Amino acid sequence: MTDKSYIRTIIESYHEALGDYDEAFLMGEDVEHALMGTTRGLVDEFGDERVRDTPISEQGFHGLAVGAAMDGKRPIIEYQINTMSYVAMDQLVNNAQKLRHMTDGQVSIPITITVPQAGTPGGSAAQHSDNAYPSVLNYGMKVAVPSTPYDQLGLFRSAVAEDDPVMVFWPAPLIGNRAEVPDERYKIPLGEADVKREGEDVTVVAIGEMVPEALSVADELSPEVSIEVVDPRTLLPLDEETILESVEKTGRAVVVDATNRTCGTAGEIASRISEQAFWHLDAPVRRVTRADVPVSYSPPEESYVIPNDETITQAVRDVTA
Amino acid sequence: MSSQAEQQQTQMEDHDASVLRQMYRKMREIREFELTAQDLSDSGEIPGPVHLYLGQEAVAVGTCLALGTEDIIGSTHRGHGHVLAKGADINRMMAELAGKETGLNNGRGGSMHMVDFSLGIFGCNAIVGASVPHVAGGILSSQLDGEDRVGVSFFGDGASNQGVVHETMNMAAAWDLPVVFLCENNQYAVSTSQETAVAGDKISDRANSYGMPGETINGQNVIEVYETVEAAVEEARETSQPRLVECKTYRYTGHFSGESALLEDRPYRDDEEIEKWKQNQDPIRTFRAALIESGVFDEPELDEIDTEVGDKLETAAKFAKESDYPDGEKAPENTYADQSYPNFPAEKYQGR
Repeated sequence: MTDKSYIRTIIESYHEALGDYDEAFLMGEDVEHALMGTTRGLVDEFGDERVRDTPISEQGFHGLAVGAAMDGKRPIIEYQINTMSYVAMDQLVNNAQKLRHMTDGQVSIPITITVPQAGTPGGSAAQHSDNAYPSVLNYGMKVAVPSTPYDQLGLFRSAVAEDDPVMVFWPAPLIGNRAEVPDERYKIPLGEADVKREGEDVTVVAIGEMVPEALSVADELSPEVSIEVVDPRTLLPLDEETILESVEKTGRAVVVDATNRTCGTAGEIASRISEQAFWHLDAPVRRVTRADVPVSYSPPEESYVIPNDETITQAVRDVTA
Repeated sequence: MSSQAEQQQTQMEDHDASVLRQMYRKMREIREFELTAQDLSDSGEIPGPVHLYLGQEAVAVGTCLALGTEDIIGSTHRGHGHVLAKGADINRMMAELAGKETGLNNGRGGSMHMVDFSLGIFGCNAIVGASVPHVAGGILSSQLDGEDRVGVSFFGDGASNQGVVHETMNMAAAWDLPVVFLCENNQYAVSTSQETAVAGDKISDRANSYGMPGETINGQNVIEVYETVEAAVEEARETSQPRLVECKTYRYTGHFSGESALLEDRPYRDDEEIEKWKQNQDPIRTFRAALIESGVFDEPELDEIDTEVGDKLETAAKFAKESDYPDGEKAPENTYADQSYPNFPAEKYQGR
C-alpha cells in the first residue's frame, strides 16, 4: 500500500492508459502544460501527437474524437471546465452515445471523458460549478463518480477499457484527499456500488463529493443513529441491488447528490427505491440536493445552494422521527 | 444543346470511355434510386421522411470517383447519393429506407444514418454539420497511424453557417489533416435562401480564413466536379492540408418528402426557377447529350444502361418490400457493448 493523493492517482491513470493502449490518445485544452495538474509528464512520455492541446472548439474536438473512435482509436478527452459538456452536447449525446445503436453495433465509440474539478471548486460561480451528469445520464451516457483515490484508480481502468463513451467526474472538493492504495493493479467494474460504512437504521446513498459529508454525519450521529453509507460509484450502470439491499435492511433512505433537485440523480435513485422497496420503508424517501438555483459567486450564497452536513443531518432526523 | 453540354463535350476528350460510362451509370442509379424512394415514400413503404438528392447527382458521383475505398466520406441528411456513389449496396440501402432488417443498419438508422465502414462511409447524419468533424477525426486517426488516407466531408450551404464546421476547418488546417470540405450549395437550407443566410460572396471564400485553398465550381457538371475533386484529393494527400470546394447545385424537390404537403400554398421558390435549372443544367441530361454528340456512346448504348439501372432499382424495391421488419424486441440490442448488468438498458416498465 502507498499513501497517494486523489490527483496523483489521476496522473498515474493517464500514464497507465496511454501505456496500455496503443490506440489511446488524450486531448483537451492546455493538457500539454498540465494546467489542471492531472496530465503532468504525459507529453514527455508519449509525445504531442498522443497528448495534444486543442483549440477552444468543444463541439469540434468532441466530433474529431468520435471520428477517430469510428476509425478504431480510443480517445480520452479531458475537460478544463466542468460544464464543457453543455457546449459539446450534440456530439456527446446525439453522436457518441447513439452511434453504436444507430448502426446496430457496427461501430464502437470508446471515448473516455474526464471532468476534473467537477462540482463546486469554490468561488467559481454559476457557469463553472456544476456536476453535469444528470443531463447526460438522461441520454444513456455511462457515468462514474469516484469518491476516493482507491475508487478512482479502479474505476478509471474500467472506464478506459469500455467500448462505449464513459464520463468520469472527479469532484473538486475531493481532489486533494489522500488515502492508502494498493500497489498491485486492481479494477473496479462499472455498476458496482460500495458500502462505505455499515449501519442499521438509515441508508444514506451519497454521490461523489457528498460521500465524505455523509460519512461525517454518520460519525456525528453515531451511536444514536446507525447510518449505512452507500456510494453507487457509477450512476449508469447503477447498482440498484446494493442500494435496495441496504434499504430493505434499514427501512429508511436518504439520497444525497450535489445536482439540482428537479430531474437530478437523487430523484432517479429515490424513485427506484420507492418503486422496488416500498413495502420495506418505514418513512418516505428523502432527497438532499442542490437548491434549484444557480451557484452564486459569493461564499454565503454558494453555501446556501450546496447540500452539506446540516441538511443531511436534517434529512436523517426526518426519516427517523 | 445547352452550353453545359457543349462544355462537357470538350472536357470528355481527356477521359476514358470507361470512366465516362461509370459517371453516367452512377448518376442514373442515384436518380432512379431517388425516384423509387419517392414512390415508396408516397405509397407508405418508407415510414420516415426522405431528403431526396434529385438534381445534385453530379456532385456525389464526380467526388466519389476521385476517392479510393480506404478514403473516408461523411454525409448529411441528404445522403443517399453520397452513400451510393461510395459503393454501398443498393438493395440494402433501399431496405434501410424501408426500415427492414436487411438494411445497411438493419433498419435501425433509416435514411439519415446509413453507414458502411468497410467502404469508408462514416455515416449520413441528421444533425446539420455533425458529420464534418467525424471525417476529420477519421483522418486524424489515419495521421496517427502514418497513413495517407484522405477524407471528404459533404455538407450544405446551411451547414456552412454551423459553428462545428468552422471549428473543424480550423483544426484540420492547424493539424495538417488532408480533408476536402465539399460544400454542396444547393441554394436553400430548407426554405431559407443562401442569398439571405450566407454572408460574403462565396462560401469558398471562407477557406481563406483557415489558410486553405478554396474554389467554387459548377456542381452540375460531373466532369468538372471529378477533375476538381481529383486534383484537390491528390493535393491534400501530398501536402496533408485541407481544401474547400464549393459546388453550385440545385435540388429539384422539396427539402424532404413531406414538404409539398406542408408548404403547398406558400412556396419559397417558383416553378420557373426549378424549370430553368432542369432545362439548362440537369447533370444527367446534359452529360448524356454530350456523350452522344461526341460519339463516345450512341443512344442505344445509353438506353441499355438506363434499362439495366431500371431493372436494378426494381430489384432493390422488391428486396426492400419483401424483406422483413426486425422484431420489435430487438430494440434494446447494441445500445451498449456489454449489456449484462441487471435491467440494462432499463425497460420502459419494470414490474414487480
